[in-house]
Amino acid sequence: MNPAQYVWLIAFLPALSFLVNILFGHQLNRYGKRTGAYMSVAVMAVATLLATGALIQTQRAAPTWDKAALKDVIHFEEETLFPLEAQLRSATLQGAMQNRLDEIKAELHHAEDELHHLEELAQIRHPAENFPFKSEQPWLSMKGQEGIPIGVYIDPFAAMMLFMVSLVCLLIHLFSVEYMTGEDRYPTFFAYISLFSSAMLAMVMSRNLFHVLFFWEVMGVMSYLLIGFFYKKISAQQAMKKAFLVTKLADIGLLVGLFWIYKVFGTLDIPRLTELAPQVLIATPGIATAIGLLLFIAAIGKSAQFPLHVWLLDAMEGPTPVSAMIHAATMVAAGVYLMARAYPILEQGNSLGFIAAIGAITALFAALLAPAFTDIKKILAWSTVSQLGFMFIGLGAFGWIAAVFHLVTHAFFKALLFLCSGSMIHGSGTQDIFKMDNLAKYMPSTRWTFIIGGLSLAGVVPFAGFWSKDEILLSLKHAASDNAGYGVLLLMAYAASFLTALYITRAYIIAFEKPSEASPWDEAAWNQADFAELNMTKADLEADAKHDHLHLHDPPHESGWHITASLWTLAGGSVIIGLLGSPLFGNAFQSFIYKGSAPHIETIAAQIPGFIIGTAIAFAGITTAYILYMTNMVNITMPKQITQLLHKRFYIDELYYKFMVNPLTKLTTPTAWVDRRLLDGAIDFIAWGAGFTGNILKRVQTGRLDLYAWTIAAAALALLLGFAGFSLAGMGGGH
Amino acid sequence: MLSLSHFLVLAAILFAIGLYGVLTRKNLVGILMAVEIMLNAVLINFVAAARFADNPQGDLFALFIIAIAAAEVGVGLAIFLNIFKHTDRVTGEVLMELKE
Repeated sequence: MNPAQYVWLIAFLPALSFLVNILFGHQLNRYGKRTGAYMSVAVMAVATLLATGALIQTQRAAPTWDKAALKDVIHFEEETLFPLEAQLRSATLQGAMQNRLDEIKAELHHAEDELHHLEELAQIRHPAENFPFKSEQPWLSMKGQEGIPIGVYIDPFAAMMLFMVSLVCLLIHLFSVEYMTGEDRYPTFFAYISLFSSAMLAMVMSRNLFHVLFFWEVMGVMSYLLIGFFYKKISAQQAMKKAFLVTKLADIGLLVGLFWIYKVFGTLDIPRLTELAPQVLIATPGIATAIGLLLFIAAIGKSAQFPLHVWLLDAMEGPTPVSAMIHAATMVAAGVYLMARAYPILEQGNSLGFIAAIGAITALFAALLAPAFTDIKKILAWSTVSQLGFMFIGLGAFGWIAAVFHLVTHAFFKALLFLCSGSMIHGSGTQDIFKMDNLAKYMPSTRWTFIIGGLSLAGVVPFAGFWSKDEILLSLKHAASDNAGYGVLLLMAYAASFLTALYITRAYIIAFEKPSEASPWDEAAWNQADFAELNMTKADLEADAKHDHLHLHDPPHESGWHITASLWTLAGGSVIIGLLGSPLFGNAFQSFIYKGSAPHIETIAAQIPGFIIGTAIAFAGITTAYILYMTNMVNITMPKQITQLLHKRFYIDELYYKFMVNPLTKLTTPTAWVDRRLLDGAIDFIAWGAGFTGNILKRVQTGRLDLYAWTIAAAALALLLGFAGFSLAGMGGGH
Repeated sequence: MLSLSHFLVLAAILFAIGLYGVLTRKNLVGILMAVEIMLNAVLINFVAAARFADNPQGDLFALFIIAIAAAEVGVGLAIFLNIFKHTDRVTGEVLMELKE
């Protein structure tokens, strides 16, 4: 069966499980506390199976490439096609003669034919007839207008994303079954995360950018609800509002970008846009740049890039499985997905350099902050921001496949790390790594899976993160050979990699290997300043502890099978997925995703220097962390100003308050007066008037039915006589 | 041969009977029955006009009125039943107590 016919079920089933859980969740609980939860796990399992089927079928239908011949294709693209495109672009901009333009266009056309020929030669197996899988239903079409057709588009990229998202979401569902036990709104939680997964899956399979926007916004709402799941806490309320407002601000970019795309192309259909982009935008790189930047603004917000990263740290107010979901499979992945989908448009403009620069700034900046925090979830949050920066570096350095590869591997190891942190919090009763007491002794499964996730994040051979990060650095190196600016970004990326290895090792050592500095709930150990900053009171904290099922005075303990099973599965994914994209397995991942835009496929020999540098940096980071935190050989105390700067996150939140929130609040004071006095006054006056006339007229309402009937009858008779007299008079006049 | 006027006169008579009932009856059920008679008078007008003008719209209106009259009787009787439960009477005066 054609996957296009059944993939909709992958998104539809979790949406159904949302409805059942939200409407009948508490009734279902009568058949056992976890009935609704297990139902949504089962539904996600079915969705994952369907996604696996779609992935296998896509893999069967997709072309396979001969690597050596593919190198010829890429070489031809770089040496002949791209210069011709550049020539045409500059000729158009300089207003060259028409016949000169036609000449270049003809040449370009010829080169494209040649490219197609080369591509066909490079295919060991040609793609199937109906590849990539599509379906289309008319929607909102009126009188000959196309409307916005609804349908799915399953190319290798979408199939890969469907598989990754559904699998990671399934494991997070399974994890939550145990983790959220005892919560008042247990069914509601499962309803929310089901709809969250459903929206992400639907977005990934949509063929129309309008529906991408639609599901993008559904995710925005779900993240709002989930971040504020513990809505009784003031800090959670603030975090949910912040996340929603910041991402909505960025979404304006997406909306305007889509309007512009529709104006230029007359369609929002992804396959058609991909096809048309080079022809339509070739002569107008300015428009391509502008559209690219607008879409990038949306991605900055959704994927928490500098300077709109501020919401992500506060989003840690949500329950830990939600953090895992937001940070791995959904939400932040959506921004990268959008960029990768819009890549054919981005390629035509000049926004890529900017994207790479923002990515590099974010990657380095977040990696600098991560070692300054002691809350395990916040360390991982900064780590996500930093890793997303790497993905945008990849996108901006002409390696969108590398970015997608990193997106997928990151989803596995970051979900793993977050679920580990959940398990650590569950077992030990605190989020502060300094208060976690020698967890290695008590939580073996969590420890080993954390090590796998951490090594993957740090980029150590042969774990997933190594291969994908290496691929990004490779694209960056290629880009740097043409443009010195990318060289600077490469150095920043190296620095960020070093810090990544350092902060994750620090977190591991302090949480797992060292005894705690104080018992978690020791009054004296409270850092008053921290709580003041968070607007938290002791009562809040205790509520917090209850939410996370902290057993305040028990020793740490290993979590149950739901949690460890999800951890080990993700750990397996963190190893296998990376190997699929490694040269050891012939870059299977990259050539699967490949569709006519250069991946830098190299022989193993050419990649070895990169491997050595990457590994060296990772080990340098790990060793530094070991020396600093394990051995106590070196004891560095940071100057107070620097720690203060890091704890305040470079004062970026304060800047937002100073320059946006406070001026807006001031601006609203006079408008609030107008609203309260003038507008509300007018409305009150009208209401008063209605009441006044009503008071006068109510005397007529005697309540005596017979009187009403007589009045009606008399009035009707009077009307009748009046009409009769009028028409008689009229007839008389007519004669 | 029946002409349009025959029907109109029949309808007018029925309407007058109904109106008389509404004006003189004290019992709410009686008033409701009288209202139904008036409605049926209008129905006859519609159907007759439709037949003589050869335009099916009148028939359609008649169908609508029948359906809505059925619903209206249901609602009306339910209200009367409740009034009866509260006051043991079903006369128009009872409703005066609803005022303010």
